[in-house]
Amino acid sequence: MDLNLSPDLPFVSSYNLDFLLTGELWWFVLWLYIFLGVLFGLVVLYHWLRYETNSVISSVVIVTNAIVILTLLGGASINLNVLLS
Amino acid sequence: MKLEAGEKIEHIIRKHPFYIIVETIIIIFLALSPQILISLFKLLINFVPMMADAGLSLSNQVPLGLQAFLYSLWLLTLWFILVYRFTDYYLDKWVVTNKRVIDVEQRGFFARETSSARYHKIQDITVTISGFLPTLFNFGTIQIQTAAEVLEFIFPDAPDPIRLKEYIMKIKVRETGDH
Repeated sequence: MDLNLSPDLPFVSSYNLDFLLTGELWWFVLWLYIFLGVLFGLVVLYHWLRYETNSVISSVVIVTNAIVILTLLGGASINLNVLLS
Repeated sequence: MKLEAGEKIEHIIRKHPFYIIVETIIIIFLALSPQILISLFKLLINFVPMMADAGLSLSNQVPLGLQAFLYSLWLLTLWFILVYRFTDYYLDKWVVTNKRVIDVEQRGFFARETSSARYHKIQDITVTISGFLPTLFNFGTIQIQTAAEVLEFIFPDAPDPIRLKEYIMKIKVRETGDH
């Protein structure tokens, strides 16, 4: 097998990474995560409100979970908009 | 979980936090791992001139916006796992009341089992501390043998299990008068 790796050969250009810039794929991934995030948030809310009633930790988990999910989804969405604009 | 009339919670026991702390550390490491890999990749490029000559760098290949997008989703995935594990850990507990021991077993988000053993039905309590880490951090398995429908209550990774056994036995003696 001839592994000719001389610098003259454009082995980098053989990587065709144009597919990374196709918006549909990333929008689909983002919407999937938004769906999962909402579902996850609701399930967490249900469990902590139902089984840990009147507890401080319950409120902390619910609020922190909502803030983290919203921040990360917001960040992902902004970055995707910047990428595809 | 509903308490009976006159029933009072004496103590709530949760598993020793050792495993949840280890899992949290692993998740933090995984959250940082893309940064570590990128740093290693940059270091590699500096040490392999051929790669630099060929213009091989991560920002050339994968746009920064896409890297940030994927990193956000990676962090979100890890966050889901962390909250899932913590919910499982925290909602799994033994509630010791003045009338019985209630075992609440949370299995993920979609399975939960509650069973209880009254003190007069408790026959024996066995404690097992097995292994280096349980011995070092003082946690182990408590087994309650009962004459009730559920013959055995098992609570793994209980903190300070020997003292816990003595505590349950003390309440049993107090409530039933049995020695």
